Amino acid sequence: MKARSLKLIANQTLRGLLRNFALMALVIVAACMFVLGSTFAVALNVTNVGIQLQKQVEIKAFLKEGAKDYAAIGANIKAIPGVKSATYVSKDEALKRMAEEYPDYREVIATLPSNPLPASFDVEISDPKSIREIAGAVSGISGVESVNYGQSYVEGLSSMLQVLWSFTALILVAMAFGSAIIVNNTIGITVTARRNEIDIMRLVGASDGFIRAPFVLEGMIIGLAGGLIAGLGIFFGYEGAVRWVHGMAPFVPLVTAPWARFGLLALVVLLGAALGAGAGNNATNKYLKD
Amino acid sequence: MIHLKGVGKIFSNNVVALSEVDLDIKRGDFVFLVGPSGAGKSTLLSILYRGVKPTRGTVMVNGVDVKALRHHEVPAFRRKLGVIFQDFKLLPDRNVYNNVAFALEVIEAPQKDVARRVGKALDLVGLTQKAKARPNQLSGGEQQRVAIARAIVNDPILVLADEPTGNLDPDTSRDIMELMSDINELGSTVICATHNKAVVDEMRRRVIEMEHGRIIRDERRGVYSFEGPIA
Repeated sequence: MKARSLKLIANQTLRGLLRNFALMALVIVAACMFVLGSTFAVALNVTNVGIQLQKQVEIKAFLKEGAKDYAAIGANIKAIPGVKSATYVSKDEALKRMAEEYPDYREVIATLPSNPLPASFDVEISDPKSIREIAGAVSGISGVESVNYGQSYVEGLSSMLQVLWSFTALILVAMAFGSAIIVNNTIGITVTARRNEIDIMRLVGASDGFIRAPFVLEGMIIGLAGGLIAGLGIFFGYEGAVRWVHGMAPFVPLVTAPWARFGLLALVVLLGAALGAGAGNNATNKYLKD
Repeated sequence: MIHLKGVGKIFSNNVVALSEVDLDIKRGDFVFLVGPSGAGKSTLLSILYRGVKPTRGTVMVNGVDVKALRHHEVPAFRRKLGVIFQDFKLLPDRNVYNNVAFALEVIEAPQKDVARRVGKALDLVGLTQKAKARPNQLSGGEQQRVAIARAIVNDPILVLADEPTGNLDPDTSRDIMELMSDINELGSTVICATHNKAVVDEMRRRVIEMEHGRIIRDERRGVYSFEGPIA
């Protein structure tokens, strides 16, 4: 394509963008992208909550009184498939942790005649779904008295997370689909408003690619700008939302790393541009059929 | 130049627009298409520039089998034609010069040719002085002249005009038809669908009358209403 043709396409695009319909489309696309981006932010944090909760799932392997060769026991535990780590907790360490966890009972703990707590291993696993099998294997190791992994809690958590993730995915898909339809129809209106232009270009023998280019470009720019407006809203609003949730429920593990905000901004901008360009293409194709 | 054999067009809503149309038009002819609304005049013109595809029959235009054209071949075919409509179809945000130049720019005509050819077309339609005016600053007749200039700027072999005087007063209509006649004399074949009895009767060119999608009259030097064969 010649440079002059590119200039003409750019000119056509600019003319389209300066129309009232383009402003309307921009506002609608920005609103759609904001809702979609916010849904992504919620989905990201729901996923993170699930991951963090699952990370906390571990097996406590209590050792028999008098078991001395804890290094060998630890090695046996680590050898079980699915075990990520096994950290030895001595009797003294266990008592120290208890004092830290229950500060009101520190004095009582200090007056104990002897340490009643057994030595143990904190066993981290890579897949919480296999916890039952791994716990069974750990309990069979010589020197291990018993295991505890909060059976009912873990099984309940797995079911709850399954439902939560399915629900979040469903909402995300619905929102993405809805946004795509709205953006498609909105950009479609801006193209329909310029149908006369398409008719004229067809009549004088412009190729489909030449006719389509300014409309695709216009859709992409509207999508990009709408995505940028929405993305910046999410970028700056995210921190405030995290603070608000932390104030109400400080125990909820939200994603606070900067990549989350930058990632959401990039995602919304790129998605807006892609949806806009696709909508411009779809709408123009409708008028290019034989 | 144009050869139609057994051409029919049925739209998707089952409306029969054309039925068994046979027609031959020679290069350089000037033809009026007349008949009541819904007779099939616009559909016939549309088939000639491949705006719609015929349902059946053969359509040859300048040696091209129009029905067999593939989608990507249509733009190149249309570059040899000029099409004019009742509603002018001008771009309101471009001036006269740019409306005409647009037809050359979108087909990537060489830059040095654009100014020369647009100037020539505007000169022919008598709008050189109004090259910088916007369509809304022009009268109906002048707007139609711009549309004609755009249609002829590419030196088309065939000019198709669908009710070009439908929105114009009688005097302006006569001027527009004289302009069409000038274009014809310059070598383009012209087919003009019209309801303008006065102009058709005055110009005494070939007249093809249509009704219910069929050609019911074809006279070499005809008038709007049938008045018997002319010797």
